[in-house]
Amino acid sequence: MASAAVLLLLIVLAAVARTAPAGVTIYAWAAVPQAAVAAALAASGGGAPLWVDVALILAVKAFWVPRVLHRSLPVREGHDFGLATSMSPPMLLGGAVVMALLGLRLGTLLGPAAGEALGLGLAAVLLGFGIPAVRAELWAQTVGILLGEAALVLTALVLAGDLPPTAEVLAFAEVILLAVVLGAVVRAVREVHGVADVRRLGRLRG
Amino acid sequence: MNVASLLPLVVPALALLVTLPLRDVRRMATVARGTALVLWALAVWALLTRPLGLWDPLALWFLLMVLVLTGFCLMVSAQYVEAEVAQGELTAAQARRYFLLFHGCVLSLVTIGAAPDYFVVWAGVEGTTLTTILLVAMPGGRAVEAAWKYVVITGIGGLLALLGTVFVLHGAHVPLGVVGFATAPAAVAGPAALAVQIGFWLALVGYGSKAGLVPFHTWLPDAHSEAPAPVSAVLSGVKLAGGVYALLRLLALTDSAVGPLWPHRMLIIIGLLTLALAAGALAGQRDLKRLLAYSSIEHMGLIVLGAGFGGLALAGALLHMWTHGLGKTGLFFGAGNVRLRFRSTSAPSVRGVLRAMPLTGAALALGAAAIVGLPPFGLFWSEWLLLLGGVRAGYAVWVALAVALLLAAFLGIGLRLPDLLLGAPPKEAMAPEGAVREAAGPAWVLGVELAALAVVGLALPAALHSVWLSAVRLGGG
Repeated sequence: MASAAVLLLLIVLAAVARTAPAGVTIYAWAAVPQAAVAAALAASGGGAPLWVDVALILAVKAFWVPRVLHRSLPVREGHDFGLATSMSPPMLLGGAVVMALLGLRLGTLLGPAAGEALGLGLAAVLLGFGIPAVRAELWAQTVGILLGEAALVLTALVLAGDLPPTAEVLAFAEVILLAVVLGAVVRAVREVHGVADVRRLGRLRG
Repeated sequence: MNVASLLPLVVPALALLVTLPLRDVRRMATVARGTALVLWALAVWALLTRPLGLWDPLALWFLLMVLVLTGFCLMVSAQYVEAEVAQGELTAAQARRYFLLFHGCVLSLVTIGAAPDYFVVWAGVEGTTLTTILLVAMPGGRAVEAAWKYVVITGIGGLLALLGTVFVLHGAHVPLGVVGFATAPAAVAGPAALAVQIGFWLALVGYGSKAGLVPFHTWLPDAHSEAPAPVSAVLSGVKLAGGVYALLRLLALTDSAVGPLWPHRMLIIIGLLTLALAAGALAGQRDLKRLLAYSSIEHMGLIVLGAGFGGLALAGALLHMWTHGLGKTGLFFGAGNVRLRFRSTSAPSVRGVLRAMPLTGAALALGAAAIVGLPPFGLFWSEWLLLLGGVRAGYAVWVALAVALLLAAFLGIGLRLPDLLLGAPPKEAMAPEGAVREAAGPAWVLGVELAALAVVGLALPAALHSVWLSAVRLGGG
């Protein structure tokens, strides 16, 4: 449960991070609670594959993906007025609390054994994926999506105890490719629009 | 797992490897054409021999569709890229990137069909998303904006689908490491049932975003309208169906765990909402590719509605995947031809297509007749089966609503298309005397697909019919 709580806290910090390097650093640190959950499961009888997981989580999410992000994301988009959000701070805070409560409630309903950790994990998933909805800078949205993925893996591990090797390999491949694609599109947006800010992207109406 | 089930993956993987060192655009195009021919040969082999134990009928039904339609898309891609390079719109390096990504996309789509379990299906769906995002962004300008919307919505969707899959499998007490598409050992209740329900919700949101279902559809009209035409075709005709196929796989498991009532009601509601949104939006579209994109949303809504009705309607829904794919890929090829001639796909820049490009114009008119569900094309029969199945399943009121929405969609397309096809074309769109008026390849491909649609409408070939019926039985229909 402590790991899920730490991850949730890191996601809240990422939601208010002001620069891309800060956001990416938070993402790198988010690998630690994930690795801790995998290590705890391995130590309690999960076996060697989970120790491989721990190593992979640290290698991919604490080192490799942050390196890709540092290279592809703009440091700052020149906002002199602080955070670029599409919600007022009270609404943002209120939304985060609602998401967290919803996740916790679902976790409790799903079973008392892993209920709190599961709830915190689900809350972290909801908050992580909520970042793209409230932050306008593309780097912040990228970090949000990847943090949502981190929370999702933690939640899946808490729920199922382990994931099959194919699922794990595919999930690692997914996060690597997703980071590369997100970075490439952010770069392309900057080349075309000058600034990687979602408020400049209003020409298409869906 | 039988390793031979992964045989179809070898073809696009080899195409990718062969294209990697190439610098000459004509050679890249030749590889693409050769790949298309091998994919078609593979489809014929799989259809005629139905190799036992490699794929179940539902997987085979989807795989055959992928092999046939991506073959068409590769053929048209080859011609499209050659034309764009000749006009100076693409460099050789961009053409290489296009083909590499396209082969990657085909590889991912084949993976969905050949996948031995839920996680590999998910990986295939994700692969198609990640490759097509970069393909959508290729033209630059507004396309980059479309690509961003696409990556955010479907990127999150894909991850939620993974979590949903874990929840459904765990709740249904299916061991996560098991290879194959299992059903629940027994019905579950309490927290386990809740886990299945949450999982199916997450999967519906996740795979629904891939399939363009409401309310996660907003990326689709932008991505389809901004992408190169063969990419729009593969997105609309094959990739969207991939999202629905993944959902159908989890639906069978969810049904066996918590009963069919709840998940099917959800599908009916989402399907109708999707249909309603598309029907409402179609009349307002002045851009040919956006019109086709909204039409794709409409048809995905219809397929999900059929899956929700179940029984005979599921048979209609599965047939509709094929018929919609055949019709819509062809229409996007025609739209690509229009863009090459008019440098636009929007009215009023585009008008008088029938006069400026008679072959493409006629094919587009016939394709539109097919896609709105007029006989003798296959979409008429798949929609008929789908709606009849709904009535037989006791959903007459919902079917009536769906028919009203289909009529609205019919009117929407019927009102807008004449603006583009009829009238006098702008002078700059007319080919000089003696010059080639239009690229015949894509128009002919559309013609072949229309002929195939008519064949499907008049009499489904026996071998395909047998796979279809088996797939319907496996899907619970």
